[in-house]
Amino acid sequence: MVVLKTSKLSKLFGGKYAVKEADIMLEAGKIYGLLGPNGSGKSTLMKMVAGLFHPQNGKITVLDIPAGTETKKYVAFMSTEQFFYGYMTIRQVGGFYNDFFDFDMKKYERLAKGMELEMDMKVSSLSSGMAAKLKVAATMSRNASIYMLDEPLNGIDLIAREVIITSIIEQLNENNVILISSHLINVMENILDEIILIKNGSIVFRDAAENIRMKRQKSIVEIYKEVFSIA
Amino acid sequence: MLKLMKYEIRRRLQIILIVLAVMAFIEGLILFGLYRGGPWLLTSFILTILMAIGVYLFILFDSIRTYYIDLNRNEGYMLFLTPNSGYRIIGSKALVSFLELVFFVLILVSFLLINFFTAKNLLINSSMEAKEMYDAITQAFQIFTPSVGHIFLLSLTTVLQWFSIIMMATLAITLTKTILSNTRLSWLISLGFFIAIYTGLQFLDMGIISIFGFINDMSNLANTAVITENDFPTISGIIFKYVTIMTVVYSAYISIFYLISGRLVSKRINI
Repeated sequence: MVVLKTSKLSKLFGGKYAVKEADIMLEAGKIYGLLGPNGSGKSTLMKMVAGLFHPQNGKITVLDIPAGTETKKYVAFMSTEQFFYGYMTIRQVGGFYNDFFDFDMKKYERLAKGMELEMDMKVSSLSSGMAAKLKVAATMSRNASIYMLDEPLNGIDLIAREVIITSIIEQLNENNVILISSHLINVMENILDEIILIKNGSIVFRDAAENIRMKRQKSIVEIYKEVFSIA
Repeated sequence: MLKLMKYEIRRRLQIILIVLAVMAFIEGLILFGLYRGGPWLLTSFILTILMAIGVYLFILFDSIRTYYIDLNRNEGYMLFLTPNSGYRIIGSKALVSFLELVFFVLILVSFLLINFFTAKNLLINSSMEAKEMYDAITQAFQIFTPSVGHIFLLSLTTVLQWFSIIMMATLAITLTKTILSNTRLSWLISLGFFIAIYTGLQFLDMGIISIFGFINDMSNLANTAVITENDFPTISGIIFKYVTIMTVVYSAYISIFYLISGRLVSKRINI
Protein backbone atom coordinates (compact mmCIF):
# COMPACT_ATOMS: atom_id res chain seq x y z
CA MET A 1 0.00 0.00 0.00
CA VAL A 2 1.39 3.37 -1.03
CA VAL A 3 1.05 5.82 1.87
CA LEU A 4 2.90 8.81 0.48
CA LYS A 5 3.52 9.83 -3.08
CA THR A 6 5.09 13.00 -4.38
CA SER A 7 5.57 13.85 -8.02
CA LYS A 8 7.72 16.64 -9.45
CA LEU A 9 7.62 18.32 -6.06
CA SER A 10 9.47 21.63 -5.98
CA LYS A 11 9.98 24.42 -3.52
CA LEU A 12 11.91 27.63 -4.08
CA PHE A 13 13.26 29.98 -1.45
CA GLY A 14 14.59 33.29 -2.70
CA GLY A 15 14.78 31.99 -6.27
CA LYS A 16 16.81 28.94 -5.24
CA TYR A 17 15.47 25.40 -5.23
CA ALA A 18 15.23 23.91 -1.75
CA VAL A 19 13.52 20.87 -3.26
CA LYS A 20 13.59 20.19 -6.98
CA GLU A 21 11.20 17.86 -8.79
CA ALA A 22 11.27 15.27 -6.04
CA ASP A 23 9.47 12.02 -6.79
CA ILE A 24 9.12 9.69 -3.86
CA MET A 25 6.80 6.85 -3.06
CA LEU A 26 6.66 5.37 0.43
CA GLU A 27 5.03 2.02 1.06
CA ALA A 28 3.44 0.88 4.28
CA GLY A 29 5.36 -1.34 6.66
CA LYS A 30 8.77 0.17 6.03
CA ILE A 31 11.16 2.57 7.69
CA TYR A 32 12.77 4.97 5.23
CA GLY A 33 15.84 7.05 5.85
CA LEU A 34 15.91 10.44 4.17
CA LEU A 35 19.58 11.30 4.24
CA GLY A 36 21.63 14.21 3.05
CA PRO A 37 23.92 16.97 4.27
CA ASN A 38 22.73 20.20 5.86
CA GLY A 39 20.65 22.30 3.49
CA SER A 40 19.97 19.43 1.12
CA GLY A 41 16.19 19.85 1.39
CA LYS A 42 15.22 17.09 3.85
CA SER A 43 13.33 19.35 6.26
CA THR A 44 11.67 21.33 3.46
CA LEU A 45 10.42 18.14 1.85
CA MET A 46 9.02 16.90 5.15
CA LYS A 47 7.42 20.24 5.93
CA MET A 48 5.66 20.24 2.57
CA VAL A 49 4.23 16.78 3.28
CA ALA A 50 3.21 17.96 6.76
CA GLY A 51 1.39 20.96 5.26
CA LEU A 52 3.62 23.61 6.83
CA PHE A 53 5.07 24.66 3.46
CA HIS A 54 3.17 25.00 0.21
CA PRO A 55 4.98 23.63 -2.85
CA GLN A 56 5.56 25.83 -5.89
CA ASN A 57 5.05 22.86 -8.20
CA GLY A 58 4.20 19.23 -8.02
CA LYS A 59 1.77 17.04 -6.15
CA ILE A 60 1.67 15.32 -2.78
CA THR A 61 -0.83 12.62 -1.93
CA VAL A 62 -1.23 10.84 1.37
CA LEU A 63 -3.30 7.66 1.06
CA ASP A 64 -4.32 8.96 -2.39
CA ILE A 65 -5.71 12.16 -0.84
CA PRO A 66 -4.15 15.43 -2.07
CA ALA A 67 -2.17 17.02 0.77
CA GLY A 68 -4.17 19.56 2.74
CA THR A 69 -6.11 19.95 5.95
CA GLU A 70 -7.60 16.45 5.67
CA THR A 71 -4.25 14.67 5.28
CA LYS A 72 -2.87 16.30 8.44
CA LYS A 73 -4.91 13.70 10.34
CA TYR A 74 -2.70 10.99 8.88
CA VAL A 75 0.66 12.72 9.02
CA ALA A 76 2.61 12.80 12.30
CA PHE A 77 5.49 15.18 11.80
CA MET A 78 8.22 15.91 14.29
CA SER A 79 10.29 18.90 13.32
CA THR A 80 13.90 19.25 14.34
CA GLU A 81 13.04 22.43 16.25
CA GLN A 82 11.28 22.53 19.62
CA PHE A 83 7.72 23.51 18.70
CA PHE A 84 5.50 23.14 21.73
CA TYR A 85 3.90 26.13 23.42
CA GLY A 86 6.01 27.19 26.38
CA TYR A 87 3.02 27.79 28.65
CA MET A 88 1.94 24.13 28.46
CA THR A 89 2.91 21.34 30.81
CA ILE A 90 3.89 17.95 29.40
CA ARG A 91 0.42 16.69 30.37
CA GLN A 92 -1.22 19.57 28.49
CA VAL A 93 0.86 18.79 25.38
CA GLY A 94 -0.65 15.29 25.54
CA GLY A 95 -4.09 16.81 26.03
CA PHE A 96 -3.59 19.02 22.98
CA TYR A 97 -2.59 16.05 20.81
CA ASN A 98 -5.48 14.04 22.23
CA ASP A 99 -7.91 16.82 21.30
CA PHE A 100 -6.79 17.10 17.68
CA PHE A 101 -5.45 13.70 16.67
CA ASP A 102 -6.03 9.98 17.05
CA PHE A 103 -3.75 9.75 20.07
CA ASP A 104 -2.74 7.07 22.57
CA MET A 105 -2.54 8.92 25.88
CA LYS A 106 -1.40 5.85 27.81
CA LYS A 107 1.46 5.25 25.43
CA TYR A 108 2.39 8.93 25.69
CA GLU A 109 2.52 8.69 29.47
CA ARG A 110 4.55 5.48 29.26
CA LEU A 111 7.04 7.00 26.80
CA ALA A 112 7.32 10.18 28.84
CA LYS A 113 8.00 8.14 31.98
CA GLY A 114 10.56 6.01 30.12
CA MET A 115 12.37 9.18 29.13
CA GLU A 116 12.19 10.57 32.66
CA LEU A 117 9.80 13.37 31.82
CA GLU A 118 7.41 14.41 34.56
CA MET A 119 3.90 15.22 33.42
CA ASP A 120 3.68 18.44 35.40
CA MET A 121 6.87 19.93 34.00
CA LYS A 122 6.38 23.08 31.96
CA VAL A 123 7.63 23.03 28.37
CA SER A 124 9.38 26.35 28.90
CA SER A 125 11.44 24.84 31.71
CA LEU A 126 12.71 21.84 29.73
CA SER A 127 16.32 21.48 28.68
CA SER A 128 16.92 20.96 24.94
CA GLY A 129 17.45 17.24 25.51
CA MET A 130 14.19 16.90 27.45
CA ALA A 131 12.31 18.90 24.82
CA ALA A 132 13.70 16.56 22.14
CA LYS A 133 12.43 13.56 24.09
CA LEU A 134 9.02 15.17 24.49
CA LYS A 135 8.75 15.70 20.73
CA VAL A 136 9.38 12.03 20.11
CA ALA A 137 6.97 10.91 22.84
CA ALA A 138 4.15 13.10 21.49
CA THR A 139 4.72 12.22 17.83
CA MET A 140 5.14 8.48 18.33
CA SER A 141 1.99 8.30 20.48
CA ARG A 142 -0.15 9.37 17.55
CA ASN A 143 -1.93 6.74 15.50
CA ALA A 144 -0.96 8.01 12.07
CA SER A 145 -0.32 6.58 8.62
CA ILE A 146 2.97 8.33 8.13
CA TYR A 147 5.50 9.35 10.75
CA MET A 148 8.11 11.86 9.70
CA LEU A 149 10.90 12.40 12.18
CA ASP A 150 13.36 15.13 11.39
CA GLU A 151 16.57 14.41 13.30
CA PRO A 152 14.86 12.46 16.12
CA LEU A 153 18.13 11.76 17.92
CA ASN A 154 19.38 15.33 18.01
CA GLY A 155 20.26 16.29 21.57
CA ILE A 156 19.32 12.87 22.92
CA ASP A 157 21.63 11.02 25.31
CA LEU A 158 22.76 7.43 24.66
CA ILE A 159 20.28 5.83 27.07
CA ALA A 160 17.25 7.68 25.73
CA ARG A 161 18.32 6.92 22.15
CA GLU A 162 17.50 3.29 22.74
CA VAL A 163 14.06 4.15 24.10
CA ILE A 164 13.42 6.28 21.03
CA ILE A 165 14.63 3.72 18.53
CA THR A 166 12.54 1.04 20.26
CA SER A 167 9.47 3.28 20.18
CA ILE A 168 9.99 3.89 16.45
CA ILE A 169 10.25 0.18 15.69
CA GLU A 170 7.26 -0.61 17.92
CA GLN A 171 5.11 1.88 16.09
CA LEU A 172 5.69 0.38 12.66
CA ASN A 173 2.98 -1.91 11.27
CA GLU A 174 1.60 -2.96 7.89
CA ASN A 175 -0.59 0.15 7.69
CA ASN A 176 1.93 2.88 8.33
CA VAL A 177 5.29 4.11 7.20
CA ILE A 178 8.11 5.91 8.97
CA LEU A 179 10.40 8.45 7.32
CA ILE A 180 13.45 9.50 9.31
CA SER A 181 16.07 12.07 8.55
CA SER A 182 19.22 11.86 10.60
CA HIS A 183 22.85 12.75 10.60
CA LEU A 184 23.55 9.79 12.86
CA ILE A 185 23.46 7.32 9.98
CA ASN A 186 25.52 4.68 11.75
CA VAL A 187 23.08 4.69 14.69
CA MET A 188 20.00 4.47 12.48
CA GLU A 189 21.46 2.16 9.85
CA ASN A 190 20.18 -1.05 11.39
CA ILE A 191 16.55 -0.01 11.52
CA LEU A 192 16.22 1.46 8.00
CA ASP A 193 14.52 -0.61 5.29
CA GLU A 194 15.21 1.83 2.48
CA ILE A 195 17.30 4.91 2.06
CA ILE A 196 16.66 8.00 -0.02
CA LEU A 197 19.58 10.36 -0.56
CA ILE A 198 18.84 13.98 -1.30
CA LYS A 199 21.38 16.46 -2.60
CA ASN A 200 20.74 20.11 -3.41
CA GLY A 201 17.01 19.45 -3.31
CA SER A 202 17.06 16.54 -5.76
CA ILE A 203 16.64 12.86 -4.98
CA VAL A 204 19.92 11.36 -6.17
CA PHE A 205 19.82 7.82 -4.84
CA ARG A 206 17.29 5.35 -3.60
CA ASP A 207 17.62 1.69 -2.72
CA ALA A 208 16.64 -0.92 -0.16
CA ALA A 209 19.06 -1.27 2.73
CA GLU A 210 19.27 -5.00 2.05
CA ASN A 211 20.31 -4.42 -1.57
CA ILE A 212 23.00 -2.03 -0.44
CA ARG A 213 24.40 -4.59 1.95
CA MET A 214 23.92 -7.77 -0.13
CA LYS A 215 24.31 -6.70 -3.77
CA ARG A 216 26.49 -3.66 -3.43
CA GLN A 217 28.38 -5.13 -0.45
CA LYS A 218 28.44 -1.74 1.21
CA SER A 219 27.13 -0.12 4.32
CA ILE A 220 24.74 2.83 4.20
CA VAL A 221 27.51 5.01 5.60
CA GLU A 222 29.76 4.02 2.69
CA ILE A 223 27.06 4.76 0.12
CA TYR A 224 26.41 8.09 1.80
CA LYS A 225 30.09 8.99 1.65
CA GLU A 226 30.27 7.89 -1.98
CA VAL A 227 27.29 9.96 -3.09
CA PHE A 228 28.28 13.03 -1.17
CA SER A 229 31.97 12.61 -2.05
CA ILE A 230 33.28 12.55 1.48
CA ALA A 231 36.83 11.24 1.52
CA MET B 1 -13.27 25.37 16.43
CA LEU B 2 -14.15 25.22 20.15
CA LYS B 3 -11.02 23.18 20.86
CA LEU B 4 -8.87 25.74 19.06
CA MET B 5 -10.57 28.49 21.05
CA LYS B 6 -9.94 26.61 24.29
CA TYR B 7 -6.19 26.61 23.68
CA GLU B 8 -6.19 30.19 22.46
CA ILE B 9 -7.91 31.31 25.68
CA ARG B 10 -5.53 29.24 27.84
CA ARG B 11 -2.63 30.86 26.10
CA ARG B 12 -3.88 34.38 26.75
CA LEU B 13 -5.18 33.73 30.25
CA GLN B 14 -2.09 34.69 32.20
CA ILE B 15 -1.72 38.11 30.59
CA ILE B 16 -5.48 38.72 30.84
CA LEU B 17 -5.32 38.11 34.59
CA ILE B 18 -2.38 40.48 34.89
CA VAL B 19 -4.25 43.22 32.99
CA LEU B 20 -7.33 42.67 35.17
CA ALA B 21 -5.20 43.11 38.28
CA VAL B 22 -3.69 46.32 36.86
CA MET B 23 -7.18 47.61 35.98
CA ALA B 24 -8.42 46.89 39.50
CA PHE B 25 -5.45 48.79 40.93
CA ILE B 26 -6.06 51.79 38.65
CA GLU B 27 -9.76 51.75 39.49
CA GLY B 28 -8.81 51.85 43.16
CA LEU B 29 -6.66 54.92 42.49
CA ILE B 30 -9.49 56.58 40.56
CA LEU B 31 -11.97 56.02 43.39
CA PHE B 32 -9.41 57.25 45.91
CA GLY B 33 -9.02 60.42 43.82
CA LEU B 34 -12.78 60.95 43.73
CA TYR B 35 -13.05 60.63 47.49
CA ARG B 36 -10.13 62.97 48.10
CA GLY B 37 -11.54 65.59 45.67
CA GLY B 38 -9.74 68.82 44.81
CA PRO B 39 -6.66 68.39 42.56
CA TRP B 40 -7.04 64.61 42.82
CA LEU B 41 -10.11 64.82 40.58
CA LEU B 42 -7.94 65.65 37.57
CA THR B 43 -5.74 62.63 38.32
CA SER B 44 -8.82 60.41 38.46
CA PHE B 45 -10.06 61.82 35.17
CA ILE B 46 -6.71 61.28 33.42
CA LEU B 47 -6.42 57.75 34.84
CA THR B 48 -9.91 56.92 33.56
CA ILE B 49 -9.00 58.04 30.04
CA LEU B 50 -5.65 56.20 30.18
CA MET B 51 -7.31 53.01 31.40
CA ALA B 52 -9.86 53.09 28.56
CA ILE B 53 -7.16 53.67 25.92
CA GLY B 54 -4.89 51.09 27.56
CA VAL B 55 -7.55 48.39 27.54
CA TYR B 56 -8.32 48.86 23.84
CA LEU B 57 -4.62 48.87 22.94
CA PHE B 58 -3.97 45.80 25.08
CA ILE B 59 -6.61 43.77 23.23
CA LEU B 60 -5.18 44.82 19.87
CA PHE B 61 -1.58 44.02 20.87
CA ASP B 62 -2.53 40.76 22.58
CA SER B 63 -4.27 39.55 19.42
CA ILE B 64 -1.37 40.64 17.22
CA ARG B 65 1.21 39.09 19.58
CA THR B 66 -0.31 35.60 19.64
CA TYR B 67 -0.92 35.50 15.89
CA TYR B 68 2.54 36.87 15.07
CA ILE B 69 4.17 34.21 17.26
CA ASP B 70 2.17 31.45 15.56
CA LEU B 71 3.25 32.59 12.12
CA ASN B 72 6.85 33.47 12.84
CA ARG B 73 8.07 31.17 15.59
CA ASN B 74 8.36 27.41 15.80
CA GLU B 75 5.54 27.17 18.36
CA GLY B 76 3.22 27.84 15.46
CA TYR B 77 3.94 24.36 14.11
CA MET B 78 1.91 22.94 16.96
CA LEU B 79 -1.16 24.80 15.75
CA PHE B 80 -0.63 24.50 12.01
CA LEU B 81 0.05 20.76 12.13
CA THR B 82 -3.47 20.15 13.43
CA PRO B 83 -6.09 19.20 10.85
CA ASN B 84 -7.74 22.62 10.86
CA SER B 85 -8.14 24.88 7.86
CA GLY B 86 -6.80 28.43 7.77
CA TYR B 87 -10.39 29.67 8.09
CA ARG B 88 -10.87 27.74 11.32
CA ILE B 89 -7.56 28.86 12.76
CA ILE B 90 -8.16 32.52 11.93
CA GLY B 91 -11.82 32.18 12.97
CA SER B 92 -10.94 30.78 16.39
CA LYS B 93 -8.38 33.52 17.00
CA ALA B 94 -10.82 36.19 15.84
CA LEU B 95 -13.62 34.88 18.05
CA VAL B 96 -11.37 34.79 21.11
CA SER B 97 -10.24 38.36 20.37
CA PHE B 98 -13.88 39.40 20.01
CA LEU B 99 -14.85 37.75 23.31
CA GLU B 100 -11.82 39.31 24.98
CA LEU B 101 -12.86 42.70 23.61
CA VAL B 102 -16.46 42.36 24.80
CA PHE B 103 -15.28 41.11 28.21
CA PHE B 104 -12.94 44.03 28.75
CA VAL B 105 -15.41 46.59 27.40
CA LEU B 106 -18.01 45.30 29.89
CA ILE B 107 -15.53 45.64 32.74
CA LEU B 108 -14.51 49.06 31.53
CA VAL B 109 -18.14 50.23 31.28
CA SER B 110 -18.81 48.84 34.78
CA PHE B 111 -15.87 50.81 36.15
CA LEU B 112 -16.98 53.94 34.29
CA LEU B 113 -20.51 53.62 35.74
CA ILE B 114 -19.12 53.09 39.25
CA ASN B 115 -16.91 56.16 38.82
CA PHE B 116 -19.77 58.24 37.40
CA PHE B 117 -22.22 57.47 40.18
CA THR B 118 -19.53 57.78 42.84
CA ALA B 119 -18.61 61.18 41.47
CA LYS B 120 -22.28 62.18 41.28
CA ASN B 121 -22.99 61.21 44.88
CA LEU B 122 -19.87 62.84 46.20
CA LEU B 123 -19.66 65.97 44.13
CA ILE B 124 -23.06 67.04 42.80
CA ASN B 125 -23.90 69.16 45.84
CA SER B 126 -20.34 70.35 46.41
CA SER B 127 -20.39 73.22 43.93
CA MET B 128 -22.39 74.95 41.20
CA GLU B 129 -19.79 73.88 38.59
CA ALA B 130 -20.20 70.24 39.51
CA LYS B 131 -23.99 70.52 39.17
CA GLU B 132 -23.59 72.18 35.75
CA MET B 133 -21.17 69.51 34.60
CA TYR B 134 -23.57 66.76 35.69
CA ASP B 135 -26.43 68.44 33.81
CA ALA B 136 -24.27 68.75 30.68
CA ILE B 137 -23.34 65.07 30.83
CA THR B 138 -26.94 63.91 31.31
CA GLN B 139 -28.02 66.16 28.42
CA ALA B 140 -25.33 64.67 26.19
CA PHE B 141 -26.58 61.21 27.14
CA GLN B 142 -30.11 62.25 26.13
CA ILE B 143 -28.85 63.23 22.67
CA PHE B 144 -26.45 60.36 22.05
CA THR B 145 -28.31 57.54 23.73
CA PRO B 146 -32.02 58.33 24.01
CA SER B 147 -32.96 54.67 24.57
CA VAL B 148 -31.47 51.34 25.66
CA GLY B 149 -31.54 50.24 22.02
CA HIS B 150 -29.39 53.22 21.08
CA ILE B 151 -26.93 52.44 23.87
CA PHE B 152 -26.67 48.88 22.60
CA LEU B 153 -26.18 49.97 18.98
CA LEU B 154 -23.53 52.52 19.90
CA SER B 155 -21.68 49.96 22.03
CA LEU B 156 -21.90 47.37 19.25
CA THR B 157 -20.51 49.79 16.67
CA THR B 158 -17.62 50.77 18.94
CA VAL B 159 -16.76 47.10 19.54
CA LEU B 160 -17.06 46.27 15.83
CA GLN B 161 -14.90 49.22 14.87
CA TRP B 162 -12.10 48.06 17.15
CA PHE B 163 -12.61 44.44 16.14
CA SER B 164 -12.26 45.45 12.48
CA ILE B 165 -8.91 47.05 13.43
CA ILE B 166 -7.82 43.75 15.01
CA MET B 167 -8.84 41.84 11.87
CA MET B 168 -7.06 44.44 9.74
CA ALA B 169 -3.87 43.80 11.72
CA THR B 170 -4.41 40.05 11.25
CA LEU B 171 -4.64 40.56 7.50
CA ALA B 172 -1.54 42.79 7.47
CA ILE B 173 0.51 40.13 9.30
CA THR B 174 -0.83 37.40 7.00
CA LEU B 175 0.00 39.42 3.87
CA THR B 176 3.56 40.00 5.11
CA LYS B 177 4.04 36.31 5.81
CA THR B 178 2.58 35.41 2.40
CA ILE B 179 4.55 37.81 0.26
CA LEU B 180 7.77 38.27 2.25
CA SER B 181 7.98 35.18 4.41
CA ASN B 182 11.67 35.28 5.26
CA THR B 183 12.17 38.99 5.71
CA ARG B 184 13.78 40.48 8.76
CA LEU B 185 11.81 43.27 10.39
CA SER B 186 8.63 41.66 9.08
CA TRP B 187 6.71 43.47 11.82
CA LEU B 188 7.71 46.76 10.19
CA ILE B 189 6.37 45.60 6.82
CA SER B 190 3.20 44.40 8.55
CA LEU B 191 2.85 47.84 10.10
CA GLY B 192 3.25 49.34 6.60
CA PHE B 193 0.51 47.09 5.24
CA PHE B 194 -1.69 47.98 8.21
CA ILE B 195 -1.26 51.73 7.70
CA ALA B 196 -1.90 51.37 3.96
CA ILE B 197 -5.11 49.36 4.48
CA TYR B 198 -6.25 51.66 7.28
CA THR B 199 -5.69 54.80 5.20
CA GLY B 200 -7.44 53.29 2.19
CA LEU B 201 -10.46 52.37 4.30
CA GLN B 202 -10.69 55.85 5.80
CA PHE B 203 -11.27 57.18 2.29
CA LEU B 204 -13.73 54.37 1.61
CA ASP B 205 -15.61 55.16 4.83
CA MET B 206 -15.91 58.80 3.78
CA GLY B 207 -17.12 57.74 0.35
CA ILE B 208 -19.76 55.43 1.83
CA ILE B 209 -21.20 57.95 4.28
CA SER B 210 -21.17 60.63 1.55
CA ILE B 211 -23.40 58.39 -0.56
CA PHE B 212 -25.88 58.38 2.31
CA GLY B 213 -25.97 62.21 2.44
CA PHE B 214 -23.42 62.94 5.17
CA ILE B 215 -22.40 66.32 3.75
CA ASN B 216 -26.01 67.53 3.47
CA ASP B 217 -26.82 66.35 6.99
CA MET B 218 -23.80 68.13 8.42
CA SER B 219 -24.65 71.35 6.51
CA ASN B 220 -28.19 71.26 7.88
CA LEU B 221 -26.87 70.81 11.40
CA ALA B 222 -24.37 73.64 10.98
CA ASN B 223 -27.14 75.95 9.73
CA THR B 224 -29.16 75.42 12.89
CA ALA B 225 -28.48 78.66 14.75
CA VAL B 226 -29.50 77.63 18.25
CA ILE B 227 -29.93 74.02 19.29
CA THR B 228 -32.88 73.49 21.58
CA GLU B 229 -34.32 70.39 23.20
CA ASN B 230 -36.70 70.08 20.25
CA ASP B 231 -33.69 69.46 17.99
CA PHE B 232 -32.42 66.51 20.05
CA PRO B 233 -34.43 63.82 18.21
CA THR B 234 -33.19 65.18 14.84
CA ILE B 235 -29.56 65.23 15.95
CA SER B 236 -29.90 61.79 17.51
CA GLY B 237 -31.55 60.53 14.30
CA ILE B 238 -28.64 61.78 12.18
CA ILE B 239 -26.02 60.32 14.52
CA PHE B 240 -27.69 56.92 14.63
CA LYS B 241 -28.23 56.86 10.89
CA TYR B 242 -24.45 56.85 10.45
CA VAL B 243 -23.86 54.61 13.44
CA THR B 244 -26.14 52.03 11.78
CA ILE B 245 -24.40 52.42 8.41
CA MET B 246 -20.98 51.99 10.01
CA THR B 247 -22.15 48.91 11.90
CA VAL B 248 -22.90 47.29 8.54
CA VAL B 249 -19.66 48.63 6.99
CA TYR B 250 -17.47 47.35 9.87
CA SER B 251 -19.18 43.96 9.72
CA ALA B 252 -18.40 43.81 6.00
CA TYR B 253 -14.75 44.74 6.60
CA ILE B 254 -14.41 42.09 9.30
CA SER B 255 -15.87 39.43 6.99
CA ILE B 256 -13.57 40.43 4.10
CA PHE B 257 -10.44 40.52 6.29
CA TYR B 258 -11.37 37.14 7.72
CA LEU B 259 -11.98 35.52 4.34
CA ILE B 260 -8.76 36.82 2.76
CA SER B 261 -6.63 35.91 5.82
CA GLY B 262 -8.21 32.45 6.06
CA ARG B 263 -7.62 31.74 2.38
CA LEU B 264 -4.01 32.92 2.48
CA VAL B 265 -3.28 30.80 5.55
CA SER B 266 -4.90 27.76 3.91
CA LYS B 267 -3.33 28.09 0.48
CA ARG B 268 -0.24 30.25 0.48
CA ILE B 269 1.55 30.67 3.77
CA ASN B 270 4.76 28.83 4.65
CA ILE B 271 4.95 28.50 8.41
